[in-house]
Amino acid sequence: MTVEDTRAPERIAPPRPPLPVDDTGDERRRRAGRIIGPTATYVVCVLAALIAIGPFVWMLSSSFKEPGDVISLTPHLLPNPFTLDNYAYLVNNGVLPFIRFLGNSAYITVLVIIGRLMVCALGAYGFARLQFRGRDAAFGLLLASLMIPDMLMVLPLYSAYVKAGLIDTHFPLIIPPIVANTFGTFLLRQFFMTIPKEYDEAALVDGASHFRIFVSIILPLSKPALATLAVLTFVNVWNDFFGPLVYLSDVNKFTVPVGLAFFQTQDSTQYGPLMAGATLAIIPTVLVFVFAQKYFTRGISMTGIK
Amino acid sequence: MTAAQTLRVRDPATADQRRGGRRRNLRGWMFIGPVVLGTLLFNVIPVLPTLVTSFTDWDGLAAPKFTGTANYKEMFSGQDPLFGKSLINTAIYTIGYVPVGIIIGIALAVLVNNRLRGMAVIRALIFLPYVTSLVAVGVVSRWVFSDQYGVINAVLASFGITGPHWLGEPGSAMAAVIVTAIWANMGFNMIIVLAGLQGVPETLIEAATLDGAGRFSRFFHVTLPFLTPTIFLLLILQTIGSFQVFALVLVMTGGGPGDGTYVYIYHLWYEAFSLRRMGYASALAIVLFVVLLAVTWIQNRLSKRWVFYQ
Repeated sequence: MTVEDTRAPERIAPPRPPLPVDDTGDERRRRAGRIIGPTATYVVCVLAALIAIGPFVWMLSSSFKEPGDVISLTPHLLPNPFTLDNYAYLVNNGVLPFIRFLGNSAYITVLVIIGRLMVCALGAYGFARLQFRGRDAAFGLLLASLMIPDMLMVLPLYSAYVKAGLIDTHFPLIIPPIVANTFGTFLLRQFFMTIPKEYDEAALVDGASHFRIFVSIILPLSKPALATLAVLTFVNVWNDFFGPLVYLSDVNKFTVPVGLAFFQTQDSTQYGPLMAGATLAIIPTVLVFVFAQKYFTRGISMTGIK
Repeated sequence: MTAAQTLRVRDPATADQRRGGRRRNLRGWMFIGPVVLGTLLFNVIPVLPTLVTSFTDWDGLAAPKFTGTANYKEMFSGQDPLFGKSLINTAIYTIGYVPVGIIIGIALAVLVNNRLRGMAVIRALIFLPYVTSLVAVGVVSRWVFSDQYGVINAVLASFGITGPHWLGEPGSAMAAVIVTAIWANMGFNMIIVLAGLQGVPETLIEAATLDGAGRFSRFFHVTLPFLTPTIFLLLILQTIGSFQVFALVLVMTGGGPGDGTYVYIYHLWYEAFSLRRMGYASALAIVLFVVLLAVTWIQNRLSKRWVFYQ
C-alpha cells in the first residue's frame, strides 16, 4: 500500500545541471526540511511506522489468542494456540448481537454514501455551473454553517426526534448526513469548477439540458472527486460515535462503535473478545484505506487547502 | 455596458427573457435545493432553539420554563463545580495535545518528505490510525495502559521498573488520553504538513545551502517560516477539535478516575442525557461556542505576529 505523493510534479522544476554523484545526496539533502541522512531517516521512519501500527498488530494477534494467553505476563506476538473463540463469542453471546451491529453500520454507511454523493453533486453543480438569483447568498449560508459546532444543534434535534417518534430509529443517522453535508458540496464544487466550461457549452448548443450535462459530462469526469468524497464519508459514518450514542438505546439498533463501547462497559476485562470486536470495527476502514489511499490523502490535503 | 443595457431594455423579448430568468432561477434551485434545505433544517435552524432553551428549565419533552439567566448564573457562580473542573480538564487536554501533536506532525512530515524507497508505505502506515474508529482505539489503548496486563507496564517491568496504575490516577489517566489522541491523529497532522512542505521553494533552500547554512538552520530559517500558515491552520483545527474531545475519554476513562478526565463535552452529554437538564446543557453548548469563537479570535490576532504569508 502506498500513499500518493503529494509533492509538486517534477515537470515544474527547471532543468538543472547534473550534480556530482554523492551517496548522501547533495540534491536530496536540499529538499525542503531534510535534516538527517537517508539511513537515519529510515531508522526513525520505520520506528514511527511501528509505533503507528504496533497496537493494531497486537490487537489482531490477541483477538486470536486463548483467554489465558491474552493476558499472559510473558507476551508473545504469534497466537499459539490459534483460536477463533473470541470471534465466536461475539457472534454467539446472545446479549450483544455483534453481527447486527456490523449489519446496521454497513447499511447506514452505504445509504449515506449513495445519498450524499447525489445531494452534494447536485448542489455542487448548481453552485459551480449555473447562474441564478440567490446562489451566492445560499453559498454564504452553507459557508457559515460550517463554523457552527454540532453541539449547538444536537439538543433541539434530539427533542424534535423524540416528538416525531424517530428516536431509536436510524433516521437521524441517515437523513441529516445525506442532506446536510456542506463539506462534500464544497469539495465537489471545487472539482467541478476545474472542468472546462466549453464542454457544457458544446452540449448546450446541441440541445442538451443541464441535468443531462450533469449526468453525462460532469459526473463521469468527476470520478476521482466522487471517490474522494465516498471514502471520506465511509470513514466518517462508519466511525461515528456521538450520533448513535445519543439517538439509539435499543441494543439491536446499535452500530459497531456504540456496540463496542457498550460491550466494554459491560465487561472491560474480556480482552480477547474486546480485541476481536475492535478488529471488526477497524477492518472495513483499513481495507477501504488500503485500496483507496490516494483519494484519502487527496481529500485530507484538501481539508487543509480549503 | 450602458449601450448593451439600453439595448436590452428596448428589446421586445424582455418579457420572454424574464420568464427565461425565472426558469433559470428555478432550475438553479432545483440543483442546490436539497443541500440548502437540508443544511437549513439540520445545521442552521436548530441553533435558535438552543439559544432560547439556554434561558429555560427544560427536560427535552415538556414545555421549557423560562428562568432568565439562571443557567448561566449556575455556571459562573460556582454552583456547578463540574463546569469549572471540566473547563480546566479540557484546557489541560488541549495544551497537552495540540502543540505536541503539531510538532510530531511536522517532524514526521519532514522525515517522510523524500523519494527514498518504501516511503509511500511508511506514510500509509503512519496515517493508518487516523482512519480507525476512536472507540476501537480507546478499547485497545485502555488495554495498552492497563496496569496489570498492559503492554507498556510489561515493557517497563522487563527493565525492572514497576509501571504506574496509568488509568487509576487522574494525572496519568489524562496523560494516557493525550498520548492516545496524539498517536491517533499524528497521520492527519503529517499529511497536512506534507502538503504545506510542497509550498517551500526549493530555490531558497538551495540558495541557503550555497550561503553555507547547515541542515538545522535551513530548516528553522527557511522551511519553518514557509510552514507557518499550515501550522496556524492545524492550530485552529486541532484546538476546536480538542475542545470537543469525547469518545476517547468515554471509552478510556469514563471521565475518571474521580473527575480527573471529566471534559467539557462529557459534562454537556451527562447533563443533557443522564440528568435530562436540557436547558442547562443548552447553556453549556452556547458557552462552548462563545469560548471557541474567543479562542479562534485570539489565535487569529496572535497569528499576525508569527504567521508568514508569501
